Amino acid sequence: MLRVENLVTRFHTYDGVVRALEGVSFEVREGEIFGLVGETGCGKSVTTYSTLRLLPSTGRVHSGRITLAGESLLDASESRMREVRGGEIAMIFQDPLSALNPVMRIGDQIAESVWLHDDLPDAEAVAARVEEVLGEVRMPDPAGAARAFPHELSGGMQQRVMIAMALAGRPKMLIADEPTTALDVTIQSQVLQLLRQLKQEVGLTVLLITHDLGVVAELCDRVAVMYAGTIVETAPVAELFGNPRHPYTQGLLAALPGASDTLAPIPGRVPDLLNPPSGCRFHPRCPLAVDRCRAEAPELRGDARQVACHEVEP
Amino acid sequence: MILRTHGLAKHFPIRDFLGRVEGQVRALDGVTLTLPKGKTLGIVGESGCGKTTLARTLLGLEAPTAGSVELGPALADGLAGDRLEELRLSDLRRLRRRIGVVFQDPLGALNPRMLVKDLVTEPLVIHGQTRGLRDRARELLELVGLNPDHLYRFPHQFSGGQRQRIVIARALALEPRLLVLDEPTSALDVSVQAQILNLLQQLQRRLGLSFLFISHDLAVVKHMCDRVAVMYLGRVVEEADAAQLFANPRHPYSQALVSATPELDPARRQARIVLEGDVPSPAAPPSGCHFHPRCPIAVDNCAVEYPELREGDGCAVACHLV
Repeated sequence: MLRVENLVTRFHTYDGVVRALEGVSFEVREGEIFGLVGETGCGKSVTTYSTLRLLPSTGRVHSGRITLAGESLLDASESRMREVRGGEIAMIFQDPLSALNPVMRIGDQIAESVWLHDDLPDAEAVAARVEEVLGEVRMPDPAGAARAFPHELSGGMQQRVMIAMALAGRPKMLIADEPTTALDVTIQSQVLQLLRQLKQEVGLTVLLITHDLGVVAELCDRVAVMYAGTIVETAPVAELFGNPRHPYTQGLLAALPGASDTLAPIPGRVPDLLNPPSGCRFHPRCPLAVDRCRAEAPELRGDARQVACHEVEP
Repeated sequence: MILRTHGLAKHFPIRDFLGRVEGQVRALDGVTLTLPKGKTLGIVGESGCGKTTLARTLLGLEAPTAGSVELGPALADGLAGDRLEELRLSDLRRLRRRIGVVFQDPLGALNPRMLVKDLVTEPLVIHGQTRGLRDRARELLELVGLNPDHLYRFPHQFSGGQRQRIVIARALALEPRLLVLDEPTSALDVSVQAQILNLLQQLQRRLGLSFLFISHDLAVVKHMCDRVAVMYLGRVVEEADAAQLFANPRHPYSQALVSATPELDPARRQARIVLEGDVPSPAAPPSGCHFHPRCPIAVDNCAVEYPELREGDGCAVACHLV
């Protein structure tokens, strides 16, 4: 469905060139939930903004290919991209309240998305479609919710509205950027259940961006782990958690509370991408690092399981 | 026992545009808890359940509407009484030296224009100390694992985890007996979170501190706490040893909370209880048991009568049916 190959994105700032993405490759298959997981500043969101060509003016994609069902998105015209955004790839964000217009009724906001992407004859048909999508995301009272303002709904309901708005254009794929981070756990499990149901019922393809390994374990089919602008490991979820290969993935899992009695933090800190380490970007913090790691950046190797490390076989 | 609350309540008035009181938010509604000495008591619950109001009330930042806070010997030593709400201002100031606090967002807690040296010794200055500040600052930085040569730096020159260490160093400046930790790692990435949690455990062992650990992250609470209290809309619904609570939660809300927590290991994953609906507003809590509209096992009586917290074999549960 979506294939990203060797994506290199840089930001040109007054302080210098921020090498935000350095050769990111992954593939999201039709009907799966694919997780992109990593810590703050590792380039998860930059990857999606590059995909939708929504980078701020300082950012530029230097090289690489992004294809959606065979069509190159980096070469598409701006008018084509407007159709792609929302029509083929829809996106939801972390904080639903700041993504919704506070002075517009929910129904009217979803209707905007319906008008843009659907060819319906009149306002009544649009209103019916709005209620339909609100029903799809299991709003308890779709007609009532359509008349409500965003502040009248709770956080979980607002996130349902965001998902409804995203689905209104009947996209092939949904990019969910930290969709449950702002929600309480019991509400989070409602939203995760909804995403799972949508995948089963309408075969929705989801690219899930998150820092929460627990959410990945619950929801995703396959997952890519990012570190400092590179993908270090890609694997089916059960294999990643059962048998992590890359030292960074192993470190992340060992740092999670619950695994054992003592937590093992990863020494050091995330590098500054203005001046990233040579070779493998993880080498200054890596317990396995050898001379070759300082000199040469490892390629992502393997088929079903991919690992970017000189010292570890995929 | 370092501290005990008895039926602690804090109600905030809701005013209309003319300033007339038209309702009340019952942020805390009869909380009875015991903080064991040298141990960690965890408070878990979702947004708006009263976790932070509880912390603020214990720190003496909010006057309770009802109920009392009984101070243990380690806190009440040398004061005129052992009831927080009866203390005179001078005693309250002395008490505050014995309770440190760490909040969620380290950047918001550190004045960006102050040097680290001044930040960590500000509590000493406020309490009248003027000499030996620089040496004490070096000591404190070393205690929390920072380079003591970084005294003359500003907060923006540190990473998020290091900033939280500065906040912890400042909380320890007056040698408190009790540390109130309000979501201390929620703003941090997991690898840094692990560093801070390890540091807190080391400090507890070395200095014999008691912790009140507030978090919405159950995995962190399970790792850190000896005892845990689960709160829902201003009330404690269950209190138990951490191991017992997570292995065998009794209250239906605790059960839902524990089962809603994402589990990494598919083999240990159990049937998930997904609660219907949202947390009600604390300004208009449901009648009877606050949890009954969302409760999978509620009966008629739950809507009428509030279940008291009842104790039994090491845990306390507030439910008619458990």
